[in-house]
Amino acid sequence: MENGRKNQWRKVLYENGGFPDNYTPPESFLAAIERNKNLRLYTKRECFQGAAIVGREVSLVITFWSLYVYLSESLINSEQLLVALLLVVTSGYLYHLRNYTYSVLLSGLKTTLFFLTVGFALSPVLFKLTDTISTDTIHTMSVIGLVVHTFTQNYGIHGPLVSKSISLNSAIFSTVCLASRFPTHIMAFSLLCLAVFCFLLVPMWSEVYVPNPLKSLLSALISVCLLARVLPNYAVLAAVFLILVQVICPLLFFHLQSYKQTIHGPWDEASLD
Amino acid sequence: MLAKVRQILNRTFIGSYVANRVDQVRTVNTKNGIEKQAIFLAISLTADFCLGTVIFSCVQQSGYSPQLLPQAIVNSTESTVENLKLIISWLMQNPAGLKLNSVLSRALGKFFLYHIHLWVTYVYLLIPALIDLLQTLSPVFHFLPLSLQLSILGDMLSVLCVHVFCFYAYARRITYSQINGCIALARLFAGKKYNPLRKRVDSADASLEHLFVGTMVFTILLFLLPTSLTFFLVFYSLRLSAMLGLEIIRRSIWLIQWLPCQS
Repeated sequence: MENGRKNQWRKVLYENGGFPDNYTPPESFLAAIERNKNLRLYTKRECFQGAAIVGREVSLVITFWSLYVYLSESLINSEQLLVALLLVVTSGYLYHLRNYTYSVLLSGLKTTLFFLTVGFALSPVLFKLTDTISTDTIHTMSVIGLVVHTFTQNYGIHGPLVSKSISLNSAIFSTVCLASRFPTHIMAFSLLCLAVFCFLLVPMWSEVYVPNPLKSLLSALISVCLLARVLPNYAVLAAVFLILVQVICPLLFFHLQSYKQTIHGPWDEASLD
Repeated sequence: MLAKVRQILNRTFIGSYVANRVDQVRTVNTKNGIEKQAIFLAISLTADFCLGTVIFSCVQQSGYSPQLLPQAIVNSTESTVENLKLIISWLMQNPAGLKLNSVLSRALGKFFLYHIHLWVTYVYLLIPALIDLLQTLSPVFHFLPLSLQLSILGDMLSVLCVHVFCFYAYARRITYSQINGCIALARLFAGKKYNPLRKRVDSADASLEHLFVGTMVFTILLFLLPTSLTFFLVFYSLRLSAMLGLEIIRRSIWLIQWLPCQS
C-alpha cells in the first residue's frame, strides 16, 4: 500500500499491484457466475424433424422384419420381391438423374452390381449355414443385431455410440442369420437384396432427401400395416412405440427445455474458441 | 552333416537309443575319471542285457512269442483304423447333441475318411516287407537289451499313430486360420484394422464393398467355427493320449539307460 491509497486490484498480471499472483477479491469470484450462457433452444419444428429421422429408421427396420415374415410364410414370392425392388430402385435412380451427373450414377450402379454378384455367389453357403441351430436362437440373434443397428445409426448428431460400420455390419449380420431359415437359396438371395436396399440405399437417399415429420409418419403407418397382417399383437406394440418416438418424445423434449439450467463461471476449464 | 543325421535319428526311438549309447561310450573315452565312468557304463549295459533276457523269457512263458508279432501289428492297425472311422462318422452326425453345421462336418468327415483309406492302402503295401524283416530278426530278440526292445515297441507304436498326428495337424491348420480370419474381420466389424507397422489397432476407413463382403465372410466363418473346433478338440485329445503312451516308453528307456550312470 503506497501513497496512503488502497490499491485497486485489477485483473492484469503484468503490473505489480502489490497483491500476490493468485489473489482474487472474495466477492468477485461468485459474482462472475453466468447462467444459461450460449443456450440453444430448439423450436417445435426442429424437435419433430429430429424425431422424424429416428422414426423413419425404426419403421424401416419394422418393414424389413415384416417382409422377412411374409417371405418365410410364402405370402409373397421371392421373384415378386425382386421385381418390386428393381422397380423401386430404377425409379429412384431416374429421379436422381435430374440432379446428379452420369458418372456418380454409374459408380452407384457398379457398386450395386458388385453387391448383387457377391450376394448371389454366397447365398448357397448362407442358406445352409445355420441349418441345425433352432429358430428361436436365430430370431434372437437377428433381433439383437437390428437393435444394435438402430442404436449405432447416424441420426445427424455426433456421439460416441455412432458408428457407420457397426450399424451396417450388424444389419448385414442379422440378414445372414435370417437367410438360413429359407428352404431355397433364391429366397435367401432376395432377402439379401432387400437388406442391401434397406440398409445401404435408403440411408444414401435420406442423406439427400431429409425426411420431414409427415413423411416419416406415413412410413410408420405403412410399416405398422405391413406388420399387422402377420403379427397383429406386435403391430400394436410397434404403433405405440412409433407414436412415442415421433410425437410424444419431441413434445416432451420441447416442454422440458424450459427447465434447462446451466451455470458457467471463471472456474470452468479454459477452452480455445 | 553329422548333426543333421543325428537330428533325424533322434526322431525314432531306436536311433536315439543307439546315439545315446554311442555318446555314453564317447564320454567315457574322453573324461578323466575313466575307471568310474567305465564301471558305471558296464553296469548299465549288463543290467540292460540281463533285464532284457529275463523279461523276454517271462513274456515268452506267458504266451507271447516273437512269431506272433507281425499278426499283432496287423490286428492293432486294423482296430485303430476301425475306431478312427467310427469316431469320424460319429462326428459327421450330431455328436453329443452339438449343433454342428451339417455340410461342413460331412465334408470334413469325408476328407478324413479318404485320408484313412489312402493310409490303409499304404500300410497294406508296407506290411509284408515289415513282416519279413521281423521274421529275420526274431531269434535275436531274445538277447537284445531291454531298452532296445522298448525302443522297438515305441517305434512300432509311433508308426501306428502317425495318422492321428496328421489329422491333428490338418484340424489345427483349419481351425487356426478360421480363428485368425474371424478376429481380423471382427476388427473390420467395429471399423478398425491392424496396423503391422506400428503393431497396434487403428481406425479403418473401409469402403462399402469392404464392409459388406467382410461382414458376410465374418458371419460365415463365425458359424462354421464350432464345427472345426469340435473336430480339432477330438483329434487333439487323441493325439494327447498317443503322446502319453509314447512318453511313458521314452521315460522308461531313459530310466534304464541313464540312471546307473548318473549315480
